Amino acid sequence: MKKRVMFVILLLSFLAVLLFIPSGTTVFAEGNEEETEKNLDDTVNDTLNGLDLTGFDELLNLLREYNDVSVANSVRTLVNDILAGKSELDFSYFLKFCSEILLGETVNILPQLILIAVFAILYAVLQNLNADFSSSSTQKILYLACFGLVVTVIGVMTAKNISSAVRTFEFMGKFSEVSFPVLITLVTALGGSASAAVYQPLILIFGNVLIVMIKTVIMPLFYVTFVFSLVGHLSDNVKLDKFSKTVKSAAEWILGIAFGTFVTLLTSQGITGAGLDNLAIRGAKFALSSYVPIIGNYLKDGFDIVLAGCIVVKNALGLCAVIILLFAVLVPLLKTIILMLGLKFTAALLQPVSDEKFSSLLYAVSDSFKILIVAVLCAGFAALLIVMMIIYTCNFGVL
Amino acid sequence: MKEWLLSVTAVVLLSVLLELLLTEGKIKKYVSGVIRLVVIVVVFVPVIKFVKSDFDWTDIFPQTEVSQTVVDENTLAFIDGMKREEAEKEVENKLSSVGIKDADVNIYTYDDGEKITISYISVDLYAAVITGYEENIILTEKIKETVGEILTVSEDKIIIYGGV
Repeated sequence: MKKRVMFVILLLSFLAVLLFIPSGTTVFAEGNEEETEKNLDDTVNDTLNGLDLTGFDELLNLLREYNDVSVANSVRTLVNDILAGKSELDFSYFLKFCSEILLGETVNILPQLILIAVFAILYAVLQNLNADFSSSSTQKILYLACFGLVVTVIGVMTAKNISSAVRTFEFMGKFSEVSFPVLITLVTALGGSASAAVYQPLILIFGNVLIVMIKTVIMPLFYVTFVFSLVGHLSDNVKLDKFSKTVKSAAEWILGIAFGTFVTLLTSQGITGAGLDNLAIRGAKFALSSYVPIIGNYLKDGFDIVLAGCIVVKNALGLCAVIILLFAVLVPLLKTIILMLGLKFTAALLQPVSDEKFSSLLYAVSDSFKILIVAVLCAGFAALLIVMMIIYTCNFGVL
Repeated sequence: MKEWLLSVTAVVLLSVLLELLLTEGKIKKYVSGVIRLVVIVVVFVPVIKFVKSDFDWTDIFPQTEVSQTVVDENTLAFIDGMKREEAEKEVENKLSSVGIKDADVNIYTYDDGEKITISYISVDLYAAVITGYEENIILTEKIKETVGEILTVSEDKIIIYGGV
C-alpha cells in the first residue's frame, strides 16, 4: 500500500515538473493579417497598373464586334470583379449563354431549311406529275432549276458561318499576340524562367505556324470540299463526291497530326519547365534564408508579398484570357454545329419524299462543315491549353 | 484557288449544257467521255503545277526566329522595382525599430542573367533621427550589422552617408 502511494506521488511530481519546464520555442498567433491583406491588395493594384492591358481591351472590342458578346467594359473591370469574387461569369451563365445561341441560331436557319425542303419536295411533285409527258431534257432542266434555288439558299445560309470562322482564326492570331506576352512576362517576373523559355517558342509556333496553316491550307481545303460537294451533284456524268471526301479526309489528317503533335509537345515541355521552375524557386527560397549573398531573410517575406501579388494578377489575367477565348470560340462553333445538324436533319427528312440527289447534296454539304468545326475546336483547345499551363506554372512552391 | 474552283464549276456546267443539247446516241457518249477527261485535267492542273514549280515554304509560313522574345521588359523592370522597394521598406522599418528613424535606404542590384545580385546598399542618415538611449553612440557598426542581417550581405557592401 505504502509503495503504491509513493509511486503515485512520484508520478504526480514528475508530471508537475514536466508542466513547468520552459519550452524552447514561443508560439505567437498570426498577427497583422489585415495589414498583410492590405499590402497584398496594394501590390496587386500596383502590378496591374504596371501592365499594358490595352491589347486585352482591343480583344474585348473585337469580341463585341464579331460575336456581339459584351463580357465587360474593360479588362481591368473584369480582373477586379474576378478578384473581388463579384464576377457573374459562372457555369450557369455559360449554360444560359450556350442555350441562347443554340436556340437563336435554330430559329434563324429554320426558315431557310424549310425553303430548301419546299424546293426539293416541289421538284419531286413536278417530276412525278410530268414523268409520262415530258422528255428527259425537260426533267433535267427542272432539276437544274430546283438545284439552283437550293444552292442559292445554301450559299446564303453558309456564307455567314464561313466568314465567322475565318474571323475566329484571325481573332486567335490577335489573341496569341496580345495575351501570351503579358502572361509570359508575369511568369518570368515570378522566376519561372525555364517555363518562359519553354513557352515562348511554342507560342510562336501556335501563332505563326498553326493559325497560318489553318488560314492557308485548311480553309482552302474546306472551300474545295464545299464547292465540290455542290458541283458534284449538278450532273450524273460528273461525280466529284469521292474527290471531295478525299480532300476532307486530308484536311482532318493534317489538323489531327499538327495539333496532336503540338499539344503533346506543349504538355510535356510545359510540365518539365514548370517542374524545373518549382525546384529553382524552392532552391531560391532555401538559399534566400541561408548563406547565398542575394536578397535574403526579411526580404524573403517582402519577396513573398510581391510574388503573391504577381501570382494573383497572373491567375486573374489568365482567367480573363480563358473567358475571352471561350466566348470567341463558342459562338461560331455552336452556330456551325447547328447549321451542320440542321442540314443533316433536312437531308434525312427529304430522303423518303424527294429525289435522292437533294438529300445526298445536303448531307455532303453538311459533312464539309466538319472541317471548320474541327479546325475551330483544335485552335481553341490549343490556345486554352497554353493559357491553363501558364496559370498552372509558378503556383506551387512559391507560397 | 478561286480561279481553279470557278474553272471546275464552269466545266461541270458545260457538261450539263452539252448533256441537255445533245441527243441520245453514240456522239453523246463520246462527248460525255471527253468532258469527264477534261474535268479530271482541270481538277489536277494545280497539282501538276505544284509538283513542277519551285515551292518555298517561307511563302506560306513567314520566317520566325524562335529566339524572338515575347516578354515585356518594361513590366519586368517595374516588378523588379517593386521587389526592391519592398526590401528597402523592410530595412527602413527594422532600422526604425532599433532607434534610427527616417533613414533612406537604397539597394543597388545587377542582373547577371541567372540571379539578381546586390552591388551595394546605401544608407543615407542626413534626414535620420536617432532616438532612444543610444543616441550618442556611434551607430555605424550597428547599422551595418542590422542591414547585413536583413539582407544577408557582407558589411563591405553597405555604405553609410551622413554618419553619426
